Amino acid sequence: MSALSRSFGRPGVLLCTALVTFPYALQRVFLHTPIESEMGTAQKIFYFHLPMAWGLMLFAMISGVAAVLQLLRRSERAEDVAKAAGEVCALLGIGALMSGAIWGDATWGTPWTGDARLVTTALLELVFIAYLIVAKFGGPMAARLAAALAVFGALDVPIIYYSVKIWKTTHPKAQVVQSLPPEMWASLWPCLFAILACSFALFELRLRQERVGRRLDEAWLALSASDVAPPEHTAPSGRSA
Amino acid sequence: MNPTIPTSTKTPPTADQGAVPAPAQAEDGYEAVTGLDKETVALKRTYEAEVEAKVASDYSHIVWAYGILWSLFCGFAIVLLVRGARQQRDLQALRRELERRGEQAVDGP
Repeated sequence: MSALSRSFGRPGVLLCTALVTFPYALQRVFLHTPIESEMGTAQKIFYFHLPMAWGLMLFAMISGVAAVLQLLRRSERAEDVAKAAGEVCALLGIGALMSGAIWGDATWGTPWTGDARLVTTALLELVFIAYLIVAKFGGPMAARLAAALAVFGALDVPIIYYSVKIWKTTHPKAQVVQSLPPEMWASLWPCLFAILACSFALFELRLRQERVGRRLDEAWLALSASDVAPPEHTAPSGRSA
Repeated sequence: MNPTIPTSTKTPPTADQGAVPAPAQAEDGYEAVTGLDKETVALKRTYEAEVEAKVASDYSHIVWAYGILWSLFCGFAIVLLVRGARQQRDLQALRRELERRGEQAVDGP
């Protein structure tokens, strides 16, 4: 495993693990899991919808905590983590919302309701899209404003979790997951593992790119400062100097 | 709400109570075949068609959901690859610039 890790790096190992786990998870979901009596075959969307939603909340929290560290300690490392986690969070959010809408269309007869769980999740997604836009296009002073948005997004996570307990919702309650029969749990675990392995691999790749981009920018700036005539260069990562 | 599959409340008639009276077994062992009445058959076909439509719709939804999920991951991976390639080009440009300056320093002003 360590040799594999040295050859491909941790993201490569995680991606390979996800590639192996995904077909296993699929065959478990479709061949070894009973069809849910009320919702029928469409319930099988659940096995990837739930891991995406959990991943969304996990990465929102990672981004939020990193943004707090960025604000308190002015840490560039924390800023990189917040940005990378923010992008994966936005990706998982789109996945969770779209798979939820498709599942809702199959079982509720409508892809969208004004349900508290749905609205708060969509709000989280919008906050993180806003965070990424501000971080990328906001200019030199926008890093702290963007971090504040990420913190605001992370604060939405407990609201999403408790929304089904506080308000009357069409969305299933959290207890439904706990009461799943063992054969459904046996299929949910590989799906959760595949989605999280893939998400963490993409997160780490994005984090590496963010760090490399920062070092490249610093190198170009140092080169420009050491010379009267700066070389022709445009910042590749879109980061403001 | 959830489309539910109606369950049959009508059981097919048996030979004892069926629409077609069961003829007594002939002495030579011949026994006439007794089938379901037309109404029951029609009802069964309706149920089957309804279940078939529901399963087809469910599979269509599943294909869309799974397709979108994994397209998203693949799309993001492609974005990362493009960014990585751009960074590689930038790194090479930086190396070339450093080499150029190194040569200038050796050659003198």
